[in-house]
Amino acid sequence: MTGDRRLRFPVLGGSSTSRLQWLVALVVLVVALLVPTFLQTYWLHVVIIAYFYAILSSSWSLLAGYGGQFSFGHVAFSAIGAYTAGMLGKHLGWPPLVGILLGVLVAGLIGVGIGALVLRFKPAYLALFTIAFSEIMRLLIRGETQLTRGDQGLHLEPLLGTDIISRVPYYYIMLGILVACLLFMYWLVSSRIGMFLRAIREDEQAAAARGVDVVRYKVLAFAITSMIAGLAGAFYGHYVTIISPNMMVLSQMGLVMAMAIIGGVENLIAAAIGGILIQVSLELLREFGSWRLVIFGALLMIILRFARNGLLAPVFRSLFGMGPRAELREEATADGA
Amino acid sequence: MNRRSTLSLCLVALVLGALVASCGPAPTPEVIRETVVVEKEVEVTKEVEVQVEVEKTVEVEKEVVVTATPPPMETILIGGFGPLSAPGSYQSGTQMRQASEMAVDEINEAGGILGMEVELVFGDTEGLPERGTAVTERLITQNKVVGLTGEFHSAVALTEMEVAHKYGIPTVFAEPWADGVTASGYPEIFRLAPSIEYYSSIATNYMVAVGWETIVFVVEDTDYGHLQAEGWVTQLEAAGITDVEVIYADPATEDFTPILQRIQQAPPDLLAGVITGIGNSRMVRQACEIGLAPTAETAYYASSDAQYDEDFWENVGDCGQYVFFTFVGLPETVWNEKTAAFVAAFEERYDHTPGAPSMEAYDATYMLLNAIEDAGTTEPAAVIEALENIEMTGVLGDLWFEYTSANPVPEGEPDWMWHQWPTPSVYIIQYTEAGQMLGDAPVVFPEEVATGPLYTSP
Amino acid sequence: MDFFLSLSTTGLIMGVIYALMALGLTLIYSILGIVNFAHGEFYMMGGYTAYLILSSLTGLHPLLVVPLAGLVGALFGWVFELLFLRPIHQDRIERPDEYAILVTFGLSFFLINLTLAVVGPYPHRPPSFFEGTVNLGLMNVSADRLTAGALSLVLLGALLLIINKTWIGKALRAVSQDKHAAAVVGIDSLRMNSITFAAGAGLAAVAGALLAPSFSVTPDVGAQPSIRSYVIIVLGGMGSIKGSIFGGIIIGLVESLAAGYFPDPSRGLRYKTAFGLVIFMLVLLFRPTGLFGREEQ
Repeated sequence: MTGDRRLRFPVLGGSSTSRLQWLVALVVLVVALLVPTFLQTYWLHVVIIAYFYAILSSSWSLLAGYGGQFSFGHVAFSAIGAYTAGMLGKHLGWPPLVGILLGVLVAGLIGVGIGALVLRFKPAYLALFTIAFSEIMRLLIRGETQLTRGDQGLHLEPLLGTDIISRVPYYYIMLGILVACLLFMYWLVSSRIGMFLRAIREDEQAAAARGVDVVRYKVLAFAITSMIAGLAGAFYGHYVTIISPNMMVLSQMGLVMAMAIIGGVENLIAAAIGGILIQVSLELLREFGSWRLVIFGALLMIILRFARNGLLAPVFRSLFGMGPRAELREEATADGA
Repeated sequence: MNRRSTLSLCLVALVLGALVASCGPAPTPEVIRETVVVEKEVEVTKEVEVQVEVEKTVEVEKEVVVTATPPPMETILIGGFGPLSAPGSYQSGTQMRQASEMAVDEINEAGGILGMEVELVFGDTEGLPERGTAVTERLITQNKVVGLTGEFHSAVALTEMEVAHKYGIPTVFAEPWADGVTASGYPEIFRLAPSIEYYSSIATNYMVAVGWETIVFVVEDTDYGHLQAEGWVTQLEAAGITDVEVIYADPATEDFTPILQRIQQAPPDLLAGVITGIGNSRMVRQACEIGLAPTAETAYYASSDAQYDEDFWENVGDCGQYVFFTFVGLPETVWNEKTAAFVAAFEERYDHTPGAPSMEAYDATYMLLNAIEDAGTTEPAAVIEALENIEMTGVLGDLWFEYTSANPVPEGEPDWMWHQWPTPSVYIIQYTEAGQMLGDAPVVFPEEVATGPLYTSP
Repeated sequence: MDFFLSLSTTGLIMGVIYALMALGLTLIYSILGIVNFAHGEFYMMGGYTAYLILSSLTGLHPLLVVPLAGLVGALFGWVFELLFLRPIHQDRIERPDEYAILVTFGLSFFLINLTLAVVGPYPHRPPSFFEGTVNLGLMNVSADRLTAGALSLVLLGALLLIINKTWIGKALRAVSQDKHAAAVVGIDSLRMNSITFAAGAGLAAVAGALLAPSFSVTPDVGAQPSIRSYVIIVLGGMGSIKGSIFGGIIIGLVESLAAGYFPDPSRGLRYKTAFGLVIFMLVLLFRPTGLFGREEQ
């Protein structure tokens, strides 16, 4: 390690351009804050849903791209958060905020469980296991209709009550959650935890040999990302007010993965932007029906094959000199090479 | 470094601008129309339509003149919604869209409504309730439709109607059966399809009439399946038939054989396989392959998907003989001229048999537009009033609404009778020959309209 | 007892067909070292190929179309392997394991939606191989299913012969054990990869064509067979041929018996897939090498 104790933001590149990055982030944030002034209800709704997907894709990129654990269970955690909140509200009458909090906790607990179970799995086994987990959860939620109302859909109370019908406050809340999650994940990757995660991803045995508590950090990655997914899901539930097991079908997981990959799976911001862009594009291309998904499938394969770091990495690199190679350059210079 | 940061800022500004523009405010109505036309053109290549159709679609595009919001209208925009992709039942949704489009084209050919061209904007709700909300919002706030029609899935309809109610837009639901749709009592909401309770009762009454005493239902594990099964069990119990078992199944199950073999251990008088889509055919085939049903000891009740005779016989072969099912819509023996004309035109244009959902969608579209014509305006309150008082003959028969704001639902009647067409045509039909077309199959129940014996056994 | 035997027969017949498809998957894993997440879609492709060919060339006997469907699947698999998977084995991909998972998953997504967009959502069925049902004493089985089961057995036998007795089989086994050693003796592992992927895809396509007359096809008809294949190869031991055969038969039996005997028939039927998945998760946790698998290198 370089011994540099200054807080670094490896996903955005070295410190010499950090001021520029913050400036850009600020501009984007201001634009985002002003969005409700020029978007009408329908498109506002689309963007709110896009933010939901952005939270999922960026947190998945943390687990998979950053932490190297390609889990297929992410949307299942989102659904667990949503259904926990929904069932508590429906059967016990608990208020939405409590439901959301518990949704996050339950998702996190199960995430810890799954993370612990898959510790020693190689990528293919991890993928298969999490697929199995996701499908079992879906079949359970769909089957136990007494609890979850299965395919009929579970009704949740709108977070802000039935009097507020405007989407604008929901927009700000979802934006707030997205920003908060991104900032939190940033802090995480730039801290020692992030360093350890990357070390584990690169070479688990070497990291263990150097004293990194592999078990702890791998499980932590699962715990944190599943909590974030659960949070997104629970809030989503209290926004759209009706959820069904369809929110966790494997093709939804495929979509989240595609978003992260097309955006850039090793970069939180890129994955988030990927989520937003793809969701909006899917809406714009609605008229093309099934063909839009054909296009996305093809795009996913092509990007994987030819643009491993996603579409946004080259943009970022030229703008801010960031990206994995840039990181290494920075480290090399800081090392005094 | 300075140059680089300026350049970077410009690039970022460009990207942001592009992002903003792409999520921007409503595209102008012309743009929307273009995409609707594109969709139709795609239709053309798929269904190998006649040359005339192509020209017609182009003409529509040229003739439309739309200005900014809100339009001093020269077109009447109505919205349609339904499942056009998974996980929704896209087979049914596609038919409904086709039927609505056909209705609109016919109306335009006949001169339009109030002297104006009608245009249908159809939104794909994918069978997802959250999509229902989004699509309805878009249709109302972006496309500014003056009425809504369609939908196949009950769960989705329940969210759509909330949005329609919020904006006060008149909505004629074609296919959703959930009682809650009309039980809501919303003034804007009307429905042509039967409620589940009514629909189930026809089958139950039939079963009682034939005299079956032990029944096993294998039902799909969805809202449709559960509501139906619960309805049947209650109604059968009320009629004294208590030896009833209900088994829920994943509609995507490939192999029902093990469960059928299990049922075969104690064969019931009647085996009901109420699974939609591909599951319907699989169950019929597999039950017949192991010799369970339809046989002399065990009759077979299929889901209404059996009405799609070509698909049915292609997928079940001779096993389909003696199978009966509930049919919503008018059987050929009771067709009026409109029905005959509709079926012929639909088959010609889309090369597929129109099922009940398409008949309902067709009538719902006509009803909405006729109401606008009657009202003399697209103003919602007037249209709603016109709908309440409407009397028309559709392909489903004579249409009207019994309980309205002038005549509210009385105490003894169920809530869902509000704005409900009181006599939806629901019949039991049985295939008495292998390969029999729907039109030739006898209506066996209710007895008043039966054209064949109550039940023909193998 | 009769009931048990009928259920077992059904289970066995299905099991043999499942084994065929799983064999394809395990071969791919054994030689290329990846799990093909689009395996179910090759199955679907086989079914649709059979349907499409037979609906245009109506004179053809349906049995003839089965090998054709297999060829189409194999061809498609070959091309895909060349374009998207070869770079893995040329060390041109960072993190090859994850890449393989994602790119085959992408293929699955792509194929399902392509079929939906091109052919449409309605279920279709190619004509039967042989009409009617066959009475096996205890129970009736459809002639189609019996044919499918019998042909699968024959194919399995043939494959075992090829793998154990022919040169190409030896080459495959060599590559699966040690790629570099195999290269030393002149076996082109890259070519073996293409052959294997094509073969695996072809086997899935054959299974699809064999079952299409019994179960009909829709664009997402491959989803359940896909998951089932994963369960089978994990149970049998990933990369083990013997394992995939035994695994297939076991899963066929389990599905049949569970649906037949589970106390609550609703749950039994509803959770049929879930049982397999639970077995799957348990095997992964407690005996990841499965019944016959090798220890991981």
